[in-house]
Amino acid sequence: MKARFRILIGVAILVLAVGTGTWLYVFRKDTTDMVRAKTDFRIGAADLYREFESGEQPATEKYGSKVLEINGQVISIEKNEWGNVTVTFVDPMFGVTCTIDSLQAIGQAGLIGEINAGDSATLKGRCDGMLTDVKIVKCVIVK
Amino acid sequence: MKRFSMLFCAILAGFSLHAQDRYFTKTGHIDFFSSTPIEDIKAANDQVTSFLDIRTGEMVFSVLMRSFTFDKALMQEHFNENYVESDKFPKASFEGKIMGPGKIQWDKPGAVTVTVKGKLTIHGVSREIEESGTFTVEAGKISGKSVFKLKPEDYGILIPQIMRKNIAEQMTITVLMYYLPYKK
Repeated sequence: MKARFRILIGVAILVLAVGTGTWLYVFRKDTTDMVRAKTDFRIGAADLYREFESGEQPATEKYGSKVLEINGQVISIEKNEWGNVTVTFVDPMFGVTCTIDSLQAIGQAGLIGEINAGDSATLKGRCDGMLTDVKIVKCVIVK
Repeated sequence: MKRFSMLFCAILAGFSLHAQDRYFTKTGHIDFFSSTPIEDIKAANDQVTSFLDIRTGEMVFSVLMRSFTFDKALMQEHFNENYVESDKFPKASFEGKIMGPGKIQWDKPGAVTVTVKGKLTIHGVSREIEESGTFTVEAGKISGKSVFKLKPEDYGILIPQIMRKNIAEQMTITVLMYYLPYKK
C-alpha cells in the first residue's frame, strides 16, 4: 500500500514537472537577457561591416543569430517613432545599426544619455543580417 | 543575398538626381496578423529599410525575416525554421511604383490614397501585387501606410494540416513607414 502511494506521488510529480516544462516551452516569451547572454563574437563595427560587404552570405552564416559585442565610434544615436533607440556606427546608410528595444531603453536611459555622436561605445546584441546596413537587435549598452 | 544591397544601390543610383526627391527609413514597421477561433498570431518588425522617390514614385522595401518578433518564443522558432526558412531565405522585398505620384502634393499637408504596383518576394517566390496605400504629409514629414491580405501558400509557405486550424488562410499585413529625407 505504502509502495503504491509512493509510486502515485512519483507519477504525480513527474506529470507536474513535464506539464510545467511543456507550458513554459510553449508559452514562454522571448525574454532574451542580453546582459547575461554569452557573447559569441567581439568585433569592431567597421570590421563587421567590411566582412558583410565583402561576403554577405558567409558573414550571415558566421554571425546570423549570434550574440555580438560591437565597438566603434558612434555616428548617431536617436530614438525612433517606435520608442526604440538606434545607435549607428560607420555610416548612416551603409554601416552597422544597433537597436535597443523601447523597454530596454527605459532601463538603460542613464547609459543612453551619456552617449553622444563621436563617442566610443560598445553594445551587445543579436545579429539578424544585412540590408543596406548590418542589423544588430535587442541591444544593451556594455560601455 | 548580395542582390538586395545591390538593388538598393541600383535604385539609389537610378533615383531622381534631386536629393530632395529621395526619402528613406531604416526603421519602418511591418506586422502580420492571423486570427482563427483557436488563436491569434501577431508578429512585428521595426527594422524595415525602405526608399521612396517622390518624383518617379519608385519605392523599395527590404526586410530581414529573423527580425520579426512574436509574443511567444516557440512561435518565432517555428516561423523561422519551419515556415519561412529564414536561413535559406533571409530576406523579403518589394520593388514597385506608386501609380500617379503626381497626384500627391508632397509639399502640402494632407493624406492621399494611391495604388502601388510591384513585385513582392517572400520565401524566394516573387509575385506581382497591386495594393492601395495612403501617403500622409504632415509638418514636412512623409509617412505611408498600407493594409492588405496575403496567402502564405502563394509564396510557397506550406502550413501543415495539423496547424491549419491555428493559422488563418489569409494574413493581414500592415506596412507603416515614416520617411526621412535622404541626404547623400
